[in-house]
Amino acid sequence: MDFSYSDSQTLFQRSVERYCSENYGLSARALALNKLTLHDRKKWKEIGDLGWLGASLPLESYGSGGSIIEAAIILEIFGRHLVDLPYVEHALVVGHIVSRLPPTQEIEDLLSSIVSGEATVAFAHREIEGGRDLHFVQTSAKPTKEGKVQLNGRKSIVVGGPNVDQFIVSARTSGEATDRGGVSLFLLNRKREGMITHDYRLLDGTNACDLVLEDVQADSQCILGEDNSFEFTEMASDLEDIGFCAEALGIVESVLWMTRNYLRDRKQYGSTLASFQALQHRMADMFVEVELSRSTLFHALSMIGHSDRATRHANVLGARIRIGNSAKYVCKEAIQLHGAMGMVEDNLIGKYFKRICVVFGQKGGLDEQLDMLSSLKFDER
Amino acid sequence: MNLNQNSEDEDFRQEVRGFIESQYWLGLGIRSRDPQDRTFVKSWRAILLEKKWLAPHWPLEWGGSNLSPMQRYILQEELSVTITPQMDGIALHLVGPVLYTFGSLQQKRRYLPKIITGEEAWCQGFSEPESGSDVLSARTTAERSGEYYLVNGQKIWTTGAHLADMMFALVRVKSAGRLQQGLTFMVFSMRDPNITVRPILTIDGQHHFNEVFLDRVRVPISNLIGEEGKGWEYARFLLANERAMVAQAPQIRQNLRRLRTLAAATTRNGTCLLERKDFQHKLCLLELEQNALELTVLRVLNAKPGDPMLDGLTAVLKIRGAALRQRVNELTLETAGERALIREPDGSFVDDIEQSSTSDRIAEVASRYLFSLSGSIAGGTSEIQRNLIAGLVLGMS
Repeated sequence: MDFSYSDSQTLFQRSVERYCSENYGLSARALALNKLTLHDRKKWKEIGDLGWLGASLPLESYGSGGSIIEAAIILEIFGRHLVDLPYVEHALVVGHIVSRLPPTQEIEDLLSSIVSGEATVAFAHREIEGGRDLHFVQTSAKPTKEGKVQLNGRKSIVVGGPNVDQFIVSARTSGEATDRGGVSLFLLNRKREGMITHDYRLLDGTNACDLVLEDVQADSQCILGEDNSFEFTEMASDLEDIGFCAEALGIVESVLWMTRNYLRDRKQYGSTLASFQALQHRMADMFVEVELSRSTLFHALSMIGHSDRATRHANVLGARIRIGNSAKYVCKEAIQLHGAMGMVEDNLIGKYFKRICVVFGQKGGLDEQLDMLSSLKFDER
Repeated sequence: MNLNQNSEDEDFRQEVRGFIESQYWLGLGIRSRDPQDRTFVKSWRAILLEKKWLAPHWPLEWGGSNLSPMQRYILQEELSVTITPQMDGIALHLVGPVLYTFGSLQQKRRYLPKIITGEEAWCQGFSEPESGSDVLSARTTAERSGEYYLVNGQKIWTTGAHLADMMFALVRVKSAGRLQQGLTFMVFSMRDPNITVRPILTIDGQHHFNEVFLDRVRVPISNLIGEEGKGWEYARFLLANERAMVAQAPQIRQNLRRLRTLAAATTRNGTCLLERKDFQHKLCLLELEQNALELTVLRVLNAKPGDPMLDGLTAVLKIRGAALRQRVNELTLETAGERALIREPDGSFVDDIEQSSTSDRIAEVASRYLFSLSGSIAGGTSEIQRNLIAGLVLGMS
């Protein structure tokens, strides 16, 4: 076993770090977040040119031939710099979904343009009425007299939805809303009639939307049929979880050291705050959590390729729960240790915390996920 | 980056399992595997010794093995299901390594064989009433007097002193009236009439610890290990070798197994405890913590020597290993219910959680939990560990 990066991984890490320092340095970042811009397509194309969007995809899929570890390297650094590019959703998840679809010419072209950064595609699957049920789909796809398919429904919190080119939409072609099967995937351009987005911001400033489908007419040819789209949904969920775990690690690392620096600078009662043992111990506890999160991420990375789907899913879910709770704790402590400065909007500390809240508040939240994991571990006989 | 165990190590794990299957479960017969059963412990110990798996970290020439650190850890993990002799830990893991690293050939010949056969038992004289966390403030003196040192002082929290044949101690050498600044590592016989041992009972109802009074104990100068003044260096060296063990992860894994078994056999309000959501959540969180701890152990085991993260990660293992053990044992105590509150009329703690379905007294669960509270105190308190992190890793002091 070797927990250190190979030479090429180290070089890769450095180049990502360099790009982020130059383009997402602290002051630039703070400015951008205050302007509430949409996702930067120019930067997306730049990192596409660098090969990062396909970093974890095999060469046959126009990728760089790396693994999930390369994606984790990118995301940890993105987390550290609060990079607001939707890498997890639009590169990691969508890239892997599209690379595993039945390959038609249309899909091949799509995959190539996704990896190059020319096209952006969002996976619009989640419907919050389903609570923690990953597979809940009420959005319907019904055959029409003209031999087409008509889609109706509403998708929630589609990150980057306001300015992506296309959506992969999961819609039910048969069965009940809570059935695992009976769902197909459709590729829909945003300009299609009946596709309406209700744009908003998430707590951390991420641009997202609800996607409403009102009698949207699509070809009957979906990109993935009923039989195994639930496997894709689960894979997407696992990739999302592990991606956010990596991002969260970068976040808590950054938060830890920012707080340490603050305590070393700030003086009260004639001493630096860093000299007070009570605060030293709280920082030590934060360090413990950061390192245990790193260990948890390694554990999840070693499990993501596991041959048994249930084992993979349980371990990645467990990692999300542990890292999510840990990250909340580290950020809350950091705000407290910053005193009044921790409450200031312009201070990045609060922004890191809000990012953690957004990432881990989704899919029903961490308590729901703990309950799900418990069921997986103990109720199966 | 390679996050998978290599196949050699996996093969070794299977080899150990096979060995335990044939030698422990089948070979030693279906006797009760009671750690109090001396004959049983002796037999199992002898089997391990012959296989060179009793002290695998020792040099080959003194009864150790060629196993890699990873393989030694795998061995420890697999052996956690067996009753492994506890008392030996001090001799095999503490004084033994100091002797074979810093001792003279004569000293190695005199002490190492009897340690590995279990013929001589040892105790560790480090802590003193005025010198706990602050080890370097030790006041026990050793005054040079011809061919001897005269040792005067008091040690406390000395595990097994009442059973030990030998002590290894950190003392402060005094020569020509001047006290040395550093501490000195020396060994001596506990049979000396000038040594008095007084038991300390702990809240778990057991007798582990003692006070040891050293009243002008004559120690031959040939019992000095290494050089005067370097004793703490030697002690720190052996701590560094034991980094991965400090979390006691395999023992915690074993405790989690017992908890699950107990929960599966326990019913509350008509529901099996293992089917209750609140219990499942608690157990789930403990297992997630265990996974994180074990991965951290692997990081420490696979780190390159001199890795700057090692000190910090060791502190992480110490703090969280102790804390997790306490949490697991506390939940076990709660799970065991009122049966665990019952002691024998003479105050002793009744054993056998395995027979809990037939026994209505399993106070050993309480005893185990109460003793686990010492895990965050002994061997460097959790507060000291946090000081270490703050200083060495975070640069805050």
